[in-house]
Amino acid sequence: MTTVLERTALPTAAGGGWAKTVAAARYEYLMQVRRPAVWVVVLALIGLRCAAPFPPGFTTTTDDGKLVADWAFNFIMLGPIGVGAVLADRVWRESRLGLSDLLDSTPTGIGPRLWGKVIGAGAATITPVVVAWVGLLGYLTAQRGAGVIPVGLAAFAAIILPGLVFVAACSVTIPYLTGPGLYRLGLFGYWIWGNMVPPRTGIPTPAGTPFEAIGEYPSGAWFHGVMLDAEHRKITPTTGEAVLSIAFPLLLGLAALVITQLVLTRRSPS
Amino acid sequence: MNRSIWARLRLELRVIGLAPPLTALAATLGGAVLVIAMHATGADAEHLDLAAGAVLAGFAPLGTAVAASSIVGRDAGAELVMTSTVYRRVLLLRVGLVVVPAALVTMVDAIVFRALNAWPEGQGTDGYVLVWAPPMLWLVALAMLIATGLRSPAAASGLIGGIWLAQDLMRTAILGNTVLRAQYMFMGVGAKVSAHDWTVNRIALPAVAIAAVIAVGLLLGRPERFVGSDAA
Repeated sequence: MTTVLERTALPTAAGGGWAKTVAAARYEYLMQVRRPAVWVVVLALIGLRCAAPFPPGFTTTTDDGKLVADWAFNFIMLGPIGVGAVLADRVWRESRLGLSDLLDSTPTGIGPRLWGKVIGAGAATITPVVVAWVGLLGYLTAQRGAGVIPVGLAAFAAIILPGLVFVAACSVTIPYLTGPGLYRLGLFGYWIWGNMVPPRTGIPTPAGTPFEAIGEYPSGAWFHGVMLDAEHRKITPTTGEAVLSIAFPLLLGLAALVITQLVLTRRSPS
Repeated sequence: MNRSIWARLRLELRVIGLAPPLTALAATLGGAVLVIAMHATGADAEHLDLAAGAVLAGFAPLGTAVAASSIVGRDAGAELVMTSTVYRRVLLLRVGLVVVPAALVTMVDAIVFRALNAWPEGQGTDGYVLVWAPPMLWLVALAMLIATGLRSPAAASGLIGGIWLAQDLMRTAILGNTVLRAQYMFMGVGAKVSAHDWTVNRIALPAVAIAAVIAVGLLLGRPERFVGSDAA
């Protein structure tokens, strides 16, 4: 911890909100990226799904777009569960260690601390996903040539990243209300219900619509990748629907952050 | 039960807080509400049976396991507890405070589901216990093993959630492998398997759970590992 503080420029009353946010994000990143649980959980879940990748046989396709999109779909199936589970205890850490009052007394303010936590801890938790994806792209490049790299980066940005950012934003805000245990259970329930429950079960679900967070629409619209529930709904996604499918979870995450900041600011005694 | 035992249980409940037992109950009660709502709104029999099986063999064990693993590392004064008693016994007592109420409510769920004719396909009266108890024991024991081994409830809940979902997503691959089939927790949810596979599975799940509990006991033999560190 001493090392973290020495490396981080302390925010002061004179510093702007952005400088404070960057400072908070930096120490949150360093704290989170050094937790063994972050690496163990996220990499284990990605490895678990990729041990029997879905759909069967897609790795033999000659279409680079489909290849990386289907790998991305395997990453996004379980990855967000791990990301959310290891992020959910971040908001309780300060009160558990008796640091809340001390941090409240600093000039940093609630907003930069909250945004710094989301940006820093969120980026740190997504780091193992990025490392795994870069490793996969390296392997695919060795097999098929450098043409895979730009498609792979685009697939990461369009299919994997929006869902992870959405889950990260929710995992740093909703546990203020529920506590980490109940939040994790709710996250598992949401991820299945909102992204994987087939419409034919008769249970109302956003799965297979642009309002899911699993990246089916960008995968299908731009990369010819696999589609599950959207296909059950007999949908061929358009570019507009793919953009909506990316924007919707990002806006929900943004709304969760803004509402949490407003509530915390109102509750603050200062 | 004498007064000192009640007092001890109340004390331990105050230490762990109400959140873990309520989290465990939320899963099994929430699932029951879903099944009853589906029954009331006239859902077709196939989906009703599937939902009942999913609640008993899936959601109730998952909620209980996540809640049980969350109690690891909650002692602000763990040193004091360890100097006056055996920490292993304390932790297992606290796990019991989470698991026993959830198990009892899940049993009631099973009775209600059967009465509503929302019952996993192919299950008889022994399903009142065998559909949910082996998966619950298995998942709780694995969650405790991961939580104590890594000193991290976050890692335990993340990995358990992933294993749980992977068992559903990779059902075909798991059922096609003899070893993995014995560890498939959703076999009570309408999986068409032979009586032999069913028996092996229902014995293998608690057997692995017992092995995991023994491993947890060994890890808790060095309770100083849990003193003075932030969750990993």
